[in-house]
Amino acid sequence: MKHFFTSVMIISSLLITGCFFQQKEYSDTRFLMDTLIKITVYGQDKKALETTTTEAFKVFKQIADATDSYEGHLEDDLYALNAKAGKGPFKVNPTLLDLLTKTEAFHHKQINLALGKVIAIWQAHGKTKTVPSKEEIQTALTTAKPDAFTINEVDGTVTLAPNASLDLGAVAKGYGVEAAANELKKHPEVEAALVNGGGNIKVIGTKKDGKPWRIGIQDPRDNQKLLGTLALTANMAVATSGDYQRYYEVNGVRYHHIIDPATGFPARGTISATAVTTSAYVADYYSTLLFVLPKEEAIKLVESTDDLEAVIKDDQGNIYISPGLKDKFSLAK
Amino acid sequence: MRKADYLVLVALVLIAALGYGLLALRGNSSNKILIIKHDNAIVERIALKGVQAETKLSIPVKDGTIKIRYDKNGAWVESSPCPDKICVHQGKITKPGETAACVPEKVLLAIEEPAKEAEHDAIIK
Repeated sequence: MKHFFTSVMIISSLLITGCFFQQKEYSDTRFLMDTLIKITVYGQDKKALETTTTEAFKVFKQIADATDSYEGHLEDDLYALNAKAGKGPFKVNPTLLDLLTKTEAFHHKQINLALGKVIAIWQAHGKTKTVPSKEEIQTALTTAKPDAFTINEVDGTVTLAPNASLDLGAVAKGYGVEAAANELKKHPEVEAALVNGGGNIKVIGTKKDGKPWRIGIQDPRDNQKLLGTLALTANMAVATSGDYQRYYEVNGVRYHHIIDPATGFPARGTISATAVTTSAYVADYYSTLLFVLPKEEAIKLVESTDDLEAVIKDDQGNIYISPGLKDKFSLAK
Repeated sequence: MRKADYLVLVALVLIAALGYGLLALRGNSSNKILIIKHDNAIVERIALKGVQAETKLSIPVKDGTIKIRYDKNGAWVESSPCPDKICVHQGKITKPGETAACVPEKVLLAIEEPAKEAEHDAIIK
């Protein structure tokens, strides 16, 4: 009986201390890069979690400012660079230089960072719900040729051809999410975290129950439903590009925001492309690329690239799930 | 074992049971979803069940910023740049179906019951 009494005492003490050391959650949501960015962090010290989250948002904001093509924030940001087209080498912000250099290193022609002029035309037509003519788009496409810009990594400069204009919409959010997550990782008080911004998610660590993070992916044709659920393990990232995120319709035809660099018109065939990999920046890059590529090419790319998994839904309703996701992605019923 | 030992034992068991009861109650706060819309677009969906502490959310609007706060029970508008402050005076909404809106700034808070989000850590849109 004495042993029983001792056991009860021990178990009770454990339960009580368990309550004291329960993991706490802190979360903050802010509007940046024209979207909502939500950071959720888990740890023991609430005050420290709050401070760290603010630091991570600062990092994100700095990237948002450096990569904004619509409004100037810094003297060496993307807006300033675009204004210097045709005027020789321009020394850019180190963040902008890093993002441009990394993205160019992928060498894929279906991701073109020089589509600024084409995107501006689509945005203007989106406001009036009209469709630009092929000629208008063709003229703008001539500013987006492979020689539209050159990077000099040593000098930290970028040279834009006359009339060229860069747009980093394909990669900036993922780059920001990854940088914010890296900032959180520097702080030991963060035991786990989830950064969610504009179709890009990065998770750090493991949830307290030890189970994978459960990420719902929206159904591209019904925002009240999910396409499926992805089980994401520690330090992985996921990004989705879809034709439902930003679009307008004219005569029943959907004109969305992901432009095929080959035609200058919205990419057709795929309606939702999700990329899963270790970096949110790389996930953002590949989700855009997989969306733009013809489906067969996209599947080939996924199956020949290390650390890349994907879910792709086409406009015929077919869903491709890469072999590595077979037991991690479950379709919604 | 003496009588006093038994009393301590009973007291401990009662404390443990009470603790479990409280934890169970906390974990069970239904599947309410807080939906925040701005200019008719959903800007945030929050499964209140998973909210462990009062959280703030700022939304830039045409006249400045609307500040919203929410916790596991509901949400309220803390401040708004709009002239009449009806949204602020509305106070906290907690029940499914309840809404608080700031019409001049086109911001809407609504609580809904469905549950699919509560099963997820995040939804990618």
